[in-house]
Amino acid sequence: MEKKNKYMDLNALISDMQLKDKRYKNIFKRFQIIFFVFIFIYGGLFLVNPDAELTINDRLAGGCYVIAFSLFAFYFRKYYKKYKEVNYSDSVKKVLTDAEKRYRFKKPDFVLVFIGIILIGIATVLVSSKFSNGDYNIIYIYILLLIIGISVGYLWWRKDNRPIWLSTKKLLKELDE
Amino acid sequence: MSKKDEKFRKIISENEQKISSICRYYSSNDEDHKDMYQEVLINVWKSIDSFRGDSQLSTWIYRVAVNTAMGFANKEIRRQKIFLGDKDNRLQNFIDVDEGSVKEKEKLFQILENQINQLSVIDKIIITLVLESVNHKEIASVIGITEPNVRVKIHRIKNELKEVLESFNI
Repeated sequence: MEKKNKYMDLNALISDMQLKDKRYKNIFKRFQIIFFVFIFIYGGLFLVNPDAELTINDRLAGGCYVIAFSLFAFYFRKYYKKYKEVNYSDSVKKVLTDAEKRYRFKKPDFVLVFIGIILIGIATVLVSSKFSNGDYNIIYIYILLLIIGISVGYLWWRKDNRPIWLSTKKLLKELDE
Repeated sequence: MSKKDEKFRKIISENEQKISSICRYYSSNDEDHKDMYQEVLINVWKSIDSFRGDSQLSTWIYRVAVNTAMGFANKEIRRQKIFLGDKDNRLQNFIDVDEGSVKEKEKLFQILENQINQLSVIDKIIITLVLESVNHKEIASVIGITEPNVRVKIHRIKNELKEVLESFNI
């Protein structure tokens, strides 16, 4: 017969956590499916589609979309896992080092997202060039939206994550003293 | 019962006292203690797959407890106040205060608790582990620094606390 925990109802806690594990797996699966569907639709429409009216630009655009969505899917998978599966059993120093990397504004992996964003921009220009008759206003709109997006992201990071980032840096310095 | 479930129950039943004891330092009342204890258990569950016996189970448990208590792994790094509760004798032994020379034990304890709460976050963790009689090697492994570094830090904390006591003529 198992010993009863003095402080907590273990059975209730375990079933609650199993439920959360299941929910997390489902969310993860759903997002993976969404990205997969995007890759499938864009790949099908622009790359596999035998329609003779599709120009080389359309095919190139399709390639850009597929690569961009694949990069986003990869980035999402990596970061979602990193955030959800924080390992509490690492040493304090390792946990702090990981947190410092996680809460930085400029993450090395962000290059992947940036490449993805550029590829979507290129693809959008390639597709719209058919209808725009040499008018490339869409590029300016896209760049403007990009700048707004990065600025909002930076402000959000400054307010939300910068204090944590600074604290982790301070604690790491303290550890080495 | 799944394997994870079984492993979890075994770890908790063997270490419930240790977890509870660490949580006491970071909780001012029973309600907080219960919340922290539950939080540690949740994080033990989340990290259980990473335990492969490379380190001692007690080290592993202390790591989870300390990281949880200080919020290092999530968005809220806490500047925790620590509570020493009934650890007065252990504390006295730690700074080598002669029992006979202490007239106002309660005052001494109060001064020490206040002073410990002025220490840096890392030093606070070290103090709690020392008071739990965790050896230097294990503390080094929990924190991720070298054993000599742990010794230096402990020596520094001791001196700091002694200096404060001297300034109070204790």
